[in-house]
Amino acid sequence: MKKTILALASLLAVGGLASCNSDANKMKVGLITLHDDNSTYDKNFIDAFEAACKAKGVKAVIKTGVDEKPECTTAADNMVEDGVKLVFADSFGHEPYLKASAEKHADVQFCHATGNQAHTYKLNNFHNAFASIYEGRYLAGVAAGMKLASMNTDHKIGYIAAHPYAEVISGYTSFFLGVRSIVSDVTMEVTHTNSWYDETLEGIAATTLINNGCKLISQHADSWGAPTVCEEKKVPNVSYNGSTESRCEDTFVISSKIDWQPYFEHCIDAVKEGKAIETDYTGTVATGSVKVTDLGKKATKGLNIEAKLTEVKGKLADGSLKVFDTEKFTVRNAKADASPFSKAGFITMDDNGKLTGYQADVDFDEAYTGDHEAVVTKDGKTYFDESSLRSAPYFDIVIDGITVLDDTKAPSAN
Amino acid sequence: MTEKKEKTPLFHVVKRSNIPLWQSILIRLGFVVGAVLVGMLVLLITRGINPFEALYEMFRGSFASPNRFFNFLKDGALLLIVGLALVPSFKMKFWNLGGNGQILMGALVTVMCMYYLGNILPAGYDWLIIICMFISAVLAGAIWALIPALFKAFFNTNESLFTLMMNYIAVGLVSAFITVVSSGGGSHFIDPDMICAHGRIPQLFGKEATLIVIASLIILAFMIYYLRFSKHGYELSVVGESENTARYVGINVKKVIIRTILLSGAICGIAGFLISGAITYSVTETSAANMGFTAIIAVWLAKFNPFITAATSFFVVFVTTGMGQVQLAFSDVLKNNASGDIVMGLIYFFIIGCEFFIEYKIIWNKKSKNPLENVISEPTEAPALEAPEPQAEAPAKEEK
Repeated sequence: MKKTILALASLLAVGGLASCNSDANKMKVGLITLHDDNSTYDKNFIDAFEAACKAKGVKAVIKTGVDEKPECTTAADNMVEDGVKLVFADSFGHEPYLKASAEKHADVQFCHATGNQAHTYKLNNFHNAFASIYEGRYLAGVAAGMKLASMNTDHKIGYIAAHPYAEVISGYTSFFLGVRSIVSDVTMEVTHTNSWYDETLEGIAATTLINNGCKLISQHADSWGAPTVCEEKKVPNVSYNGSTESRCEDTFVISSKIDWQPYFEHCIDAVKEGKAIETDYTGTVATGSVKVTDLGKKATKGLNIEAKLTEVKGKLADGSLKVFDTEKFTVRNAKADASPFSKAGFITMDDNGKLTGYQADVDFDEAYTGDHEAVVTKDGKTYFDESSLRSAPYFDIVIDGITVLDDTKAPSAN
Repeated sequence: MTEKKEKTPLFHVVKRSNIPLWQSILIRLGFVVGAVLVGMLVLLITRGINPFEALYEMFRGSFASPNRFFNFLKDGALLLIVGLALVPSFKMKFWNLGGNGQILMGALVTVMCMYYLGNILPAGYDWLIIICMFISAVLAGAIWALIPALFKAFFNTNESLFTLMMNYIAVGLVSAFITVVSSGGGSHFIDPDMICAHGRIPQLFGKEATLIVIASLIILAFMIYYLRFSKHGYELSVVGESENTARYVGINVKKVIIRTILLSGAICGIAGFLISGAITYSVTETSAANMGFTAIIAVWLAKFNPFITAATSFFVVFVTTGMGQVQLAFSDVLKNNASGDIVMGLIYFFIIGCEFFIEYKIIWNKKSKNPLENVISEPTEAPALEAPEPQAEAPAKEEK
């Protein structure tokens, strides 16, 4: 017994010596995440956060697995008590709870990714951020279009969408427009899983779309469900939030993703220099927030997609190309029930079905009423001005060429 | 061959005839503290975290600031309420694993009252909403427990499985409700400011914790009285000891089962009422925060004694909150909450293991090369006993 105690004590002593606190004087920056790094969505934040903190020489404090409940307020409060000067949270539902902490701590800055209420809360220390990921999806769409054009098959593609929600609709529309910029007669089928992460449902959805004759699949959902099915059936796949090439080397085409590092660094700098952080920040291709991954080696061999992407990326960055240019799409079939958000009364179009006006639901309210005109004309271009009235997307019209199928349901045998 | 036969085993196991409550609790607590220490050691070996600093952070988790202390009180009191709900049913040996579901149902109807009544009633009728919330939460929790109780009483179905499955139904109902109320948005959650603006239970003395602690004390006092001094309490413990005995002395077993479980579910419903009505003003599939299961450990540690449940509930919350703080303080090496789960897992593991030491005691046989010396030899030095210690559990368990 004595020996054990001795051994234990010496171990403790060594441990004590080893962990000298070298970064006690560093500024502390906190990140609250919904899951941990086993989720691709949260991993994307955690990796960017650690990289940003390292680059800026601040101490990273990370709290993972924080539900969208008052425990988010507690987590933020605890961080502030421990000296954190800047708190980030990564999940949509964290917003009201992070705000509750922001109200209590006026001298600490709170930044909430993907949220949409900072501009209505009107707090000086609470901010929203998103990225113009529609540009990234457009780029991915261009790559997918070139792949599709090379395949010599029907020009029909499929898309597995999570929730019928502006962020998702904006995403698949921009992807579709990217494909159509290469293949003019393409059509797309969309099915919703009503979940951000459901491996089984996403797999079923992919199978359904492939059986419907879709020759290329993309998704806005976080699991390996769809890419795996595509690999099995040898159908090219465009992913989101990261490359799936490691397990799907034959079919992985490209993936778009948001890189949060520029935003984190931007906010850290702002706090260090005592500058105000924007209420709504939208990272773009130009700020380095919107990215596409490397192209799949096997699936895009010999297609010279890289050069085309560089060209389109340049146009997006300098503003000469607008993803939602109203010349590029029509909305004849936009129906009131296409989305719970897009109410028929808010859309105006001309006789050719071209979008001329849209009241977008920018200020969050229970009835999702449109409150801001989103179609603008600038420098001779008329376009749907996505992510400028607030950072979170609000394009939620189902445009012509896209067919929304019934939701994917779990097999009843379960 | 003959020599082998004479060789004495290192120890033998004797069933304890009677162990005082304080002693059994001391053994359990000893094991729990041991588990925490082993957990710290795991952190040291795998992550190089100084155990002293980790222990310091663990205490900071609950006591570093008034804010944290009130959160600790709130969480501990909530767990205590759920624990107290489980005590009577466990005492009756009705394994109510449906605490989560019963809490959730209480929380769900609470939010439904806030939402639907809040929309109908004019301002100033919050008190009426709160009364409706309370009554419906109690009923919802009770009904959710009643269903398995009826089946147990009349068809002798397995209550563990039944209550467990009721949890999933409750989760499904909550999920369905959120889908309806959040009207098809991409986010599957209830915004408290929109859905639950009316009928919020006012805070006492500006703290959420006050009301919860008072509620837990009232329920604690009631439960102590109920179990120790009421006829009901006596009846349910007889049913727990032996249903046949209970029947023989003229206790209506069915009635006792149903009555006790109704009480158990009703208190869980109150927990749900407090969670949604006084703290979160919202409901999610995880509103019960797994307390229906966590409370089992608290109750088990306390040997179904309501008074000691109070201590163990706060202890469990202390460990959980503490490990959360450890993760926060060392987030550069602890990337997720797995470390906290490991320590909690160790505690559960040690508790199960220590049941053996409560039921049985180990008697060390004196070791000597000459069997004759056994009789007169002095007890060997402590280090000699050390070696077989880890093995003690394994063979012992088989015997059990």
